[in-house]
Amino acid sequence: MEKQSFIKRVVVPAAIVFAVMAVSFIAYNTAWHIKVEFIHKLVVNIAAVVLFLCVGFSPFAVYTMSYFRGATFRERVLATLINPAAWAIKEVVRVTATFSIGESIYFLFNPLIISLFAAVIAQVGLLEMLCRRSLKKRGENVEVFSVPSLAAIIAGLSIFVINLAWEQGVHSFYLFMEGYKLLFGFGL
Amino acid sequence: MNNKPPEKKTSRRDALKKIGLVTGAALAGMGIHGSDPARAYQGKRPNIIFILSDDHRWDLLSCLDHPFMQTPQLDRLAKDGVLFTNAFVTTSLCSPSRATFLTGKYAHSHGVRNNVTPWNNENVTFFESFKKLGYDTAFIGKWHMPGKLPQLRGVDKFATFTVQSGQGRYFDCPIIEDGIERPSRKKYITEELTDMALDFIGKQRHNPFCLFLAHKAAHHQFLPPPETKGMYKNIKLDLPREIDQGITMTNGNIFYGTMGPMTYHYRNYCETLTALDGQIGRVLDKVDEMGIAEDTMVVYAGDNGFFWGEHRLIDKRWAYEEAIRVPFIVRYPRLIPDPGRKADQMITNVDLAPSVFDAAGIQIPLDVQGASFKPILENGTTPGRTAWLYEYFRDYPYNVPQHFAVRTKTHKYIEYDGRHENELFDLAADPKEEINLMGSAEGEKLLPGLKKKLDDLKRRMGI
Repeated sequence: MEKQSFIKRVVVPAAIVFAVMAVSFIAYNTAWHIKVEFIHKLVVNIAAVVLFLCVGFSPFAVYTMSYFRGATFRERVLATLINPAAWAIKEVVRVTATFSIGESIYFLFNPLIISLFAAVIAQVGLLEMLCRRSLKKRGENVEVFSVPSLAAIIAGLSIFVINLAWEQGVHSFYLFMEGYKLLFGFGL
Repeated sequence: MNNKPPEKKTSRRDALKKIGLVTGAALAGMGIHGSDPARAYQGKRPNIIFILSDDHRWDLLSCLDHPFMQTPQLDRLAKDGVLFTNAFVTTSLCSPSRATFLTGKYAHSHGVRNNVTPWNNENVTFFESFKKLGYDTAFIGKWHMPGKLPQLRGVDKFATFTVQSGQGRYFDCPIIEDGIERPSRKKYITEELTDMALDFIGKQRHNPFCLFLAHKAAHHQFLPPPETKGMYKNIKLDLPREIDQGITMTNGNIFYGTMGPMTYHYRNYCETLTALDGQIGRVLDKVDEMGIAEDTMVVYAGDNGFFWGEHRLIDKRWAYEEAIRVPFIVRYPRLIPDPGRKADQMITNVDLAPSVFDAAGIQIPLDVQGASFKPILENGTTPGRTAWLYEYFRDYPYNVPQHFAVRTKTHKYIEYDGRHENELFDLAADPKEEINLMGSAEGEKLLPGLKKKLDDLKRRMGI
């Protein structure tokens, strides 16, 4: 595999997804101004799906691109984390409209953001093995199966499922709120 | 010899009487009505049944020509009573609103400012006064006040639930009845709570009774029972233009428990309300069957409204009409000469306590911040209030800033903390509150008067 420049192997993959994410975010939130109902619904539905994929499944694009552009494992992880981190930071900034800096930073620990990063970990584990498999098919001498990859899948999926599947995330949310009360009291 | 009668010193009782009369006159001058505390109660004290629903929007009643909602029992209540078409809550959020109904005070006064600040049991609920008069009293249903379950003074029966931080569960919700936890006898919470209410109402007794029946329906997760599930499945919905299916899951809305498309939740919500309506019918049937309808004041209200996509919002909290307006129906045949009337005078949740006091001939405590709507029940031409104060306090993690608003009959002015732009709406010309008049020529003309009204109200209410 040819090792491309840092920009091409780390920045570009993340930037491509970031750009698509940004456009779909803007389209989703502004499409309701479109007067023609059919186009309004079409744009909003497509934007919603694309945004969801960019936020939740960006590793499929970013990690894979980085991998085949010769990025090291650390560089692949760095590139993969850029978009979820951007989304999380956007969420934190969103709530600063109402809450203090401390409360807004604590927002990073809400079940949705935790689940997002858990999903990213699981995807990284899976993609590592899928990319190795692809390399092996090209004749490279590489082990497909890896214990750390499997561990990442299990850990990521477990956190994700517990967070969101445990009475649809209600219990995780209440735990998150107990933490908030411990740190910030009643928030008034 | 001095034939003059001895000078009479003003007693404390007389002084209080005078203060009450002066206050009542002053409030009457502002278009708010109080009770004459000196008037002796004539006649039989009424039974009080207050039924509080959760997140029931004001316009989801078939008697208000909703395109498909079926609420025949609430329609029945309205037909036999008075339906207030301009009823509001002073804080559009579960816990503060519930505490306001109970105490007749604003959230900043009773202290339950959001869904996190605990209930202070120093608060005096209207139960205490009823109990002093010998009423049998019961609180059945959703308490949902943060903190431990209190030992509520003046309450003979206290049945509630604490699962899911007091929100309860629609199915198989364990009940805590007078401190003892037991499984639900009925699968569906609305039916279970109604059964308990009917048991209480149906008891042999010599005393009048006061019942606060607080339903979980129709809070999220908006789960209807099998009987109504799917009844609105194929109905064409008329939701606002600005909605899309994803609003329930974006911008933090998913924390309201709304994973899934908007229309799916809305149908479930409507079906849950229709099921609730059916259970309310059971209460009304019981009252009729016992022959006590004439002497029973039945009040139905919602704890707050709900957005279904308006302003691209879901849930409540904001001072827009969809969140602050609630259904409010009162039936009390002895008092209401013209049942079936729709009253457009503005009333709020803070008026419930003084009104039930007034109806029962109980002196309204001076620290209660609402006003009795009993005069409006007695006479439809009674003028109502001209303005009232709305308040909302931050409630983590919901990104709604603290704000105060003044709502008059025709306008609304909202002042926000933080970076959210203040808003001013002409409700007559723009009932959907789509055009913010702040910064416009018309807004500039209206703002000083509304700002003064808001500041005056805040000062009067002790903020």
